Amino acid sequence: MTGELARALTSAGHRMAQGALTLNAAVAQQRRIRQPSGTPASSIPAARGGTSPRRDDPTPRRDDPSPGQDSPEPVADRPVPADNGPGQPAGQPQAALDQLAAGLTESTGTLAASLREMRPPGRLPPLRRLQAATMAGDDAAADALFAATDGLVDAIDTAADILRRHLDGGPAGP
Amino acid sequence: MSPPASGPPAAGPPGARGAQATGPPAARGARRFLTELQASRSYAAGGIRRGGWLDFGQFNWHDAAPGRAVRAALGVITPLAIGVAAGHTADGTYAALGALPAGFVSFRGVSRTRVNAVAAAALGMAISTFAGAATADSVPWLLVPEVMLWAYVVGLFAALGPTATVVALQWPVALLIGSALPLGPGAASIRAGLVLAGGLWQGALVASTWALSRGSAERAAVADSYLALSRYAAGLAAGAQGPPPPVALPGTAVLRDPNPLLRTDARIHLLNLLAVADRIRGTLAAIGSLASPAATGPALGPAATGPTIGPAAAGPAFGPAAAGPAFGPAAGEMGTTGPDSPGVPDPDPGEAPDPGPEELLSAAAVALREIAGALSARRGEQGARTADARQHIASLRLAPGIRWQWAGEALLGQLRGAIRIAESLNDADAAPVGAQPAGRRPGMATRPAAARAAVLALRASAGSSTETGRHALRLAAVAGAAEVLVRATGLPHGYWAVLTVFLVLKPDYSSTLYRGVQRAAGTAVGAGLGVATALLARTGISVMLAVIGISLVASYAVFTVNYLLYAVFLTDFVVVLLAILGLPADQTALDRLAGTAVGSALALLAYLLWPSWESSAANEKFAGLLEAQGRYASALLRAYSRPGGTAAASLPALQLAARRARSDAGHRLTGSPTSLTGRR
Repeated sequence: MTGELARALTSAGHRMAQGALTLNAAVAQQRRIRQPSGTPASSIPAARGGTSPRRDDPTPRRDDPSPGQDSPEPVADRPVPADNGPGQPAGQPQAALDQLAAGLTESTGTLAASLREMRPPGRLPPLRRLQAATMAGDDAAADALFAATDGLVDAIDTAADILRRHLDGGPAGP
Repeated sequence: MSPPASGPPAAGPPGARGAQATGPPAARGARRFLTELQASRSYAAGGIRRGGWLDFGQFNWHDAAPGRAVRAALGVITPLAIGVAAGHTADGTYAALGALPAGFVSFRGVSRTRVNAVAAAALGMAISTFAGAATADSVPWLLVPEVMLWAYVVGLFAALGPTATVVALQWPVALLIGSALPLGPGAASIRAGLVLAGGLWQGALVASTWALSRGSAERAAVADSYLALSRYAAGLAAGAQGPPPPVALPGTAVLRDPNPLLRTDARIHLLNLLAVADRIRGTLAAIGSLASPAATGPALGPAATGPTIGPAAAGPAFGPAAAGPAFGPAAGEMGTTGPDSPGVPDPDPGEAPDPGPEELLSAAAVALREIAGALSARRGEQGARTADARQHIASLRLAPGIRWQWAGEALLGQLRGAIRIAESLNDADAAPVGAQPAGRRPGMATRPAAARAAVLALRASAGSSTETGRHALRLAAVAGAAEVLVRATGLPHGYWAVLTVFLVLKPDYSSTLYRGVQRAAGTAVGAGLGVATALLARTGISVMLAVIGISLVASYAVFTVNYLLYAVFLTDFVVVLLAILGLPADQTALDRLAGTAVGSALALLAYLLWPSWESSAANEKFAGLLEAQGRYASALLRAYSRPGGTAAASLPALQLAARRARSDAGHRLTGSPTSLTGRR
């Protein structure tokens, strides 16, 4: 492993940690505003079922896999939940978040396996699409969730790109 | 230092992992210990066989810091000279011994963080000096657990980063030096006060530099950021491909902790410049990616035929020949235009080849260099440099319809924005002084938050399951053993042996070997130099002060150049300083040599006896980092989606695991370069 690869991975790990920190803050905020009865507060998009999606078609990114490159692996094959449109049950966003969580675990596992074998990583779940499916609401909590998951997805995609470049014998940058 | 050619297996003998996974915990721990021990010894044997251990390292002369060295040396010599002049040489020496390590600490951090580090080191040294002197006077053997405790703390502080480690390292050093001269509580308090005063004097000298260079360091750091971008743009224009280096821009760390006397408006302009620089970096990467042959596809290569768009058809798209400014008020001034901007046609496989962005990138490289020049130029020349930068991009015109048009427009907008901010910064600097210095900087963690994060990191690293924790335990054991050896044998100046253990024993094998060999060699040369210097300087105390001042400046200046050189001049300083106090230089030199040899040998022996993290490859650590972060993030998402569910219960453990993984992976970067070498 070269120093450049180690530094790049550390940077990606740092960004993942920052995303997790933001997510941690969102969870802590959620706990604070939770109603005593245990039901989720209305400002939490994950448990709310009546808000239109705000970012259902995010701007394409350079590091986003094209539709044809989506992973054929389990998480990718699962149907991405529909938009959290009016009248839909609250379970849909939960399922979207669960799928994103599973996608994160699967992606980082794939990247870890790639590092252990020192081979380019295989295809990852379509994290950006999974993240877009979790978007609901336009309040501060939704913003925090968006920022956190955006950072996480971006960091994982970056790490995958770094590994592909370094472990495939491709260009390592200027 | 070259890594061993043939290291041990990544995690011990085949099947070891499987064997470790079964059986009772104690048996698993014993098997793991033996596996690690075997791997570590194999690694060490490989290194010794290769002969790479006799490596005096590189001489990084560009890292020499003569200015800072003079400042730090002044901080040491001043109290010493005052003490000599006042007839209290011993008191002056104690204060100088507080200022000496504080001077090395003052090389860490940026502005406030630097002063804070010096203050923390000085306070800890004062407490340690008192503890060392008082304990040695009352119950000398109690020093053994004290040394072990400090060693554990120092080892654990590695989890907080290099600055915290350097700060904490000064505490046991003061404890050991304090123990060399036992004193009652009253006298020990006075001595501790002198050490504190010496350390704080160094901090005051650092703070005084704020007034001397108000904003120049920040300007230089941002200028370096723009120069780095200029080099990247020039590389892309010359045909290089790929993203920019994945490191933060040079100005990031400096502006995170700016000069407290920097004016608020100037600081905001500098922050804005840095933010624009970050965006320019992304845009340059986008242009490089979009304009690369891989992005345009085979049909759009140079060999493609058909009508062309851009230079070949309509003359030069960029440069002085283009007619007038390309962008009106409607264009995104700060580069808000995106790929979905109206007017950008979809790429068509049969489309003509895009003109290359070389001319735009070349002009951007020049403009970025001019912006950097405007930031570092003298006040009278700043306007001319920004005008030059503006002129270089004013006449550029993008051919419509090219694939990277949106990125080119964004780049030009960002460059114009950067030039305007640079002009505002220069205007603000020229305005009369009167603005209030800024208070707490945005982006700096509040003290309670930082303290909580530090406590969490220390908690995550404690125990034997992390590399930091194992290093702390090993350091405590070896330092304690060294202290016992010194007490039992009555080794003259025996604290130097224990002190060497602290300085040499590092979390990784390569750094320990490197430090041990270099310190021993440097001490040998420096001891001889010290004896010669002391003999030559017998003519008078003022000559001796001047001589040790020179040694001190040299020691500080080469601290970041080469450890061996640093050890040479530091030993020279120590021998002559003790000669001033009346100790014979030749005997001091021999004691120093013996102590260093014993300490280095103990530290290196520890690596042959104690399993080290080198037995697992770097790629395994980074794999663990990714997995741990992924598991923690997933659990957070599940806790978010189901408030009150079971996922929340697992969060603290997963958070600790993620921190441990970061700490473990971080050691790969803080250690020597060879520690990054994995086994493929």
